[in-house]
Amino acid sequence: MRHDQYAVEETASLSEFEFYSEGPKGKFKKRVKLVPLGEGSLVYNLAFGDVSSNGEIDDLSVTNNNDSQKVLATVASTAYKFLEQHPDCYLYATGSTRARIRLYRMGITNNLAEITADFLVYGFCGNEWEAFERGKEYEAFLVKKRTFGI
Amino acid sequence: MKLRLNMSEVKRQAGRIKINKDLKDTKYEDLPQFIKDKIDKGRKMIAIAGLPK
Repeated sequence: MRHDQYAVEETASLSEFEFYSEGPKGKFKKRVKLVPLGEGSLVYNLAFGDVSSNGEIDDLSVTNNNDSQKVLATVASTAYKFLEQHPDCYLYATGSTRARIRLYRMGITNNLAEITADFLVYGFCGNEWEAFERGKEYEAFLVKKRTFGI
Repeated sequence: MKLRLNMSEVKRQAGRIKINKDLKDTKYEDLPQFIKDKIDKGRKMIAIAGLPK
């Protein structure tokens, strides 16, 4: 990807990633965790947030570290890595707040050409999944590696 | 000949082991509530609409 990213530490299965946000407010540990929606499910939930003092992810924390684009690009890179290794799987993502859903939608919109070259992107709207379109409000997103010929 | 440890590599591996342990020990029941909520919401959306064709 063309955006700056942080270096990430990952597990062998690529289902958990950690990195540090660095900026004017300090250094904050972030974690991305990919959990299947059910046993044997091909759909994985993407959870992301700051690692709090108890070691858990806090997806409501606000860091304001002036690096939201770099953080978003880093999270996207973890999704890339996971889907490259799990091409049959879907990644499900939604924001913890309306503002964050909008932020993710803008992130996808601003990089749509680059993303759709390698991935199929869907949005949940009106009780169905549809191919992601610019300017539409979605509740959640699904991303899958594009397989040759589709 | 002395064995020299590459400390950054040792730290990297230690971090990886810790993360792996966290993951191995995490069951659905033990996940933070917000992840459970998102999983449940995602399941509902998949149940309603299925996966996109």
